[in-house]
Amino acid sequence: MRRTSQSLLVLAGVMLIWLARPLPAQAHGTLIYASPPDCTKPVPALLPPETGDCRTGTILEQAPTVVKLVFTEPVKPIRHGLIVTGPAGKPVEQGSISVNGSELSIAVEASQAGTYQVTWQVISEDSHPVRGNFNFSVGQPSEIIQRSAWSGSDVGGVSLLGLVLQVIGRLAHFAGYALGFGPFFFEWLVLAAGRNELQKVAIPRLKRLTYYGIGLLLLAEPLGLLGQTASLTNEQLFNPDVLADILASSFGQVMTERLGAAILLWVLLGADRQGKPLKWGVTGLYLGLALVDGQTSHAVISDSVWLGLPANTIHLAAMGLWLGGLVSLVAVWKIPQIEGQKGLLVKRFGRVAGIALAWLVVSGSLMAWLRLAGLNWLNTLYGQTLLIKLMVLVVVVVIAGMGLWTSGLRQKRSWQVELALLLGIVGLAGLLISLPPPR
Amino acid sequence: MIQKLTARSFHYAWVIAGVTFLTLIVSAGVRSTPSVLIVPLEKEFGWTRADISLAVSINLILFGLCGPFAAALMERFGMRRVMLIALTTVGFAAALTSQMNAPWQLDLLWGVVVGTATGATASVLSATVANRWFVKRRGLVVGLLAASSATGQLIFLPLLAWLVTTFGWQAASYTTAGAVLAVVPLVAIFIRNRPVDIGLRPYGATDDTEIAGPVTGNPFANALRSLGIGLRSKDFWILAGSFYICGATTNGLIGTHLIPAAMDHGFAEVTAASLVALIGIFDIVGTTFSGWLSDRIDNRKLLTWYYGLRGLSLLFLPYALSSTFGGLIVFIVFYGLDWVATVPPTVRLTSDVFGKANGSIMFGWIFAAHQFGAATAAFGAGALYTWLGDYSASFWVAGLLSLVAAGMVTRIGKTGTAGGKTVPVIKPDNKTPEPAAI
Repeated sequence: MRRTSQSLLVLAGVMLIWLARPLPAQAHGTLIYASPPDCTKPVPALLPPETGDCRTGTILEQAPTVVKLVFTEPVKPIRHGLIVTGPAGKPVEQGSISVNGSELSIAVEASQAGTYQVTWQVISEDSHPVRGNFNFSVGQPSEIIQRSAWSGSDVGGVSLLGLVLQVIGRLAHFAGYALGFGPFFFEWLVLAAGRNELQKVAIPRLKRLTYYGIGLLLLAEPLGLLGQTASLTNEQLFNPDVLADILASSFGQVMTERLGAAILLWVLLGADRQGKPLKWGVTGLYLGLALVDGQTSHAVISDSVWLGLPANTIHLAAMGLWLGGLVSLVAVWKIPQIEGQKGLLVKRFGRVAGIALAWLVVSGSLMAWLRLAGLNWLNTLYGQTLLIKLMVLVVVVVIAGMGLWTSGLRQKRSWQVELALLLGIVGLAGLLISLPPPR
Repeated sequence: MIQKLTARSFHYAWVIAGVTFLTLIVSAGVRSTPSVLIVPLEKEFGWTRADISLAVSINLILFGLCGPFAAALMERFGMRRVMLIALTTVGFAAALTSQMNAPWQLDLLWGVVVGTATGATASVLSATVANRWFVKRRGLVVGLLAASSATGQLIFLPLLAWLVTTFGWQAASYTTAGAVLAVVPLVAIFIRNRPVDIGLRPYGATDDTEIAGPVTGNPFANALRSLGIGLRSKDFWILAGSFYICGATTNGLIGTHLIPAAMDHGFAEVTAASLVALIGIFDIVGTTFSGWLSDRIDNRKLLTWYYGLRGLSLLFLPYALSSTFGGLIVFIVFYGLDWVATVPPTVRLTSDVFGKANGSIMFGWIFAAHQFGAATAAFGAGALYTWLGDYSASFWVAGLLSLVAAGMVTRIGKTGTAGGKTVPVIKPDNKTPEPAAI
């Protein structure tokens, strides 16, 4: 009885905190206001999509002289980041785009009656590429003529190929992160309990894993860059102008920092394995890289960066500890010298993984709490991805828990399944970051 | 006059060192001129930054490649004659640049002529002077001459920038030409090839000191044979590779492009040049201290720290440029302290790995890699600027490369071999005379 009331109290507390949270993050460079407004939608422009067309929508009496877009965060236009096409299919924008933080505007000559199309493509401060288009009519509606190479069939504001490449890039990055750093922590937190002769044989294997991790971290960046260009331009993956603009955006900056972190890890790998500075260096780099990653997730632009960024950092660090540790455990499992110490290692790793799981749950809930409001997020691709990710996590936890009670071949097989599912979760996390969160 | 000087209480070797110091510093001044000319030339002729950077790259490559062969020239024709011809050529080439009106003339004069002529003296000259004229204080002399050459490239920049802004860019050409030609008579009067020529012993030599005679064997063949040995050694590749990056991130990128980059961010030309000159001043402190450290600490660790800090400061540079003045000062202090601080440890590691006898020539080749790096970066940064419209990407790439160098040098001498033999654990060696650098 007492227990039930306690649980109810906790539940009520959680609900209260949920309701008292700060405003949900407005991230991903989402368009929140357009002038002149989209003729198919009422103001503000960003409401659930309607199947209206310009014949029934708003028709402007007076020709606008400026097209102005306001985003949820500062943006950088990519290449011709804002173009306006007139009813005759000709460009009507005049002069150059003026960028003022989260506001883009350009002068237009829109005196001709008819329907105009506005097309924009930007990279937001949290390094997400987004593009979109809408129409407005002056005087009377006319047929819409497109100037951009792509139509409106985007997923999450980008081309499908771009989204896929972005997700692959992020998966490679996260896997590289876990593989690059995890073995170090496995050595210090788990293997250190083992006998010396085991450590001597195991450490070269762990070192090799780190090399693979560094390779993945380095590979992830060109993939990510291609993901960015593909997101905005369908065919021209290597268009030099687009690449130049992307490299000069926040993405270029984060890409550099990530590459720097991967190279520094390689430097540390050449350092003395026993020294204490190595521990400090690796730990610092581990958290530092997670912090850098926070700049590209949705953590950085919200009303509560102070909460979102640490939560994101902890989430990543805990993921690396678990995934990287598990790979390390599997890698040293076949070493003959491990006989007689298997139980000890499994027990120690189990503790590490348990703590990592607890941190994952806490930080993950925090991030969801900051980002989601009401229940309509369930209708979005973002929300559904999040739900699937949670379900897979539950399965992983069950399998991992069962793995603790089995032994021998079945234990190893259960780890392999766990590993595959964890990678799946990481891929879903990559998809989540690539999608705009619901408001 | 020579008799008067030799009769005095101080040794004539110091006169030689002094005139060499002047020679190096004026030719360094000439070599640094293009970086204050980039923006004025763009304005006057409409050349792109890639056009101008190409000339700088040619200069840097030839300057480096001449290193291993210049020694051969000095053996064959004598130090004095080589210095005279080189300086006169540099002087006239610098004067001629004031008349140019097409990019190929810049490539020819500043790239080919000045590059070759300054290369024929700079990097080997200090080693030759130190080896022939000094037995004692050889390290000090080499350090002094190396610093004069490296720092000479930076400290004249404010003066040159002032000349350019006050009297137009031709003024810089005339002034450097005049300075170089003024040194020519000094060389003609005071420089002697060997102490024996005026009946002296090298400074600090006693009766039993073995005086190094002319090198036996064909010097060109010696240089090429050493290269052959080096190419088969992993450590040579690491040393040359890290020094390639060193050149790319110092002379090539910052030496050539920091002034125009600062001007893009609204600094006046003289202010920008003064900032770079400030790097030169911190460099003296850093390089001297680095020489002292290299006697005491594992040189691989030193290099790792130098390259690591250099990489981080370069990654920070784009923010520093677009932030306040204070940010840029922080960059200059950190970056300046290891401008050529990498030289003493690299020299030491080279002679530790390849032995004292081969060390000098080997370092000549490693230094050539340095200049190749410098040339790549000078041109590459110009090309990237032309493509991207600013320097951030160049600074980022340079920063990442420095970090790569930091990782490379930790791996020297671990499993590698030099000349077919296993390399012993590298210990600091206090007695090796250092070959000259930069």
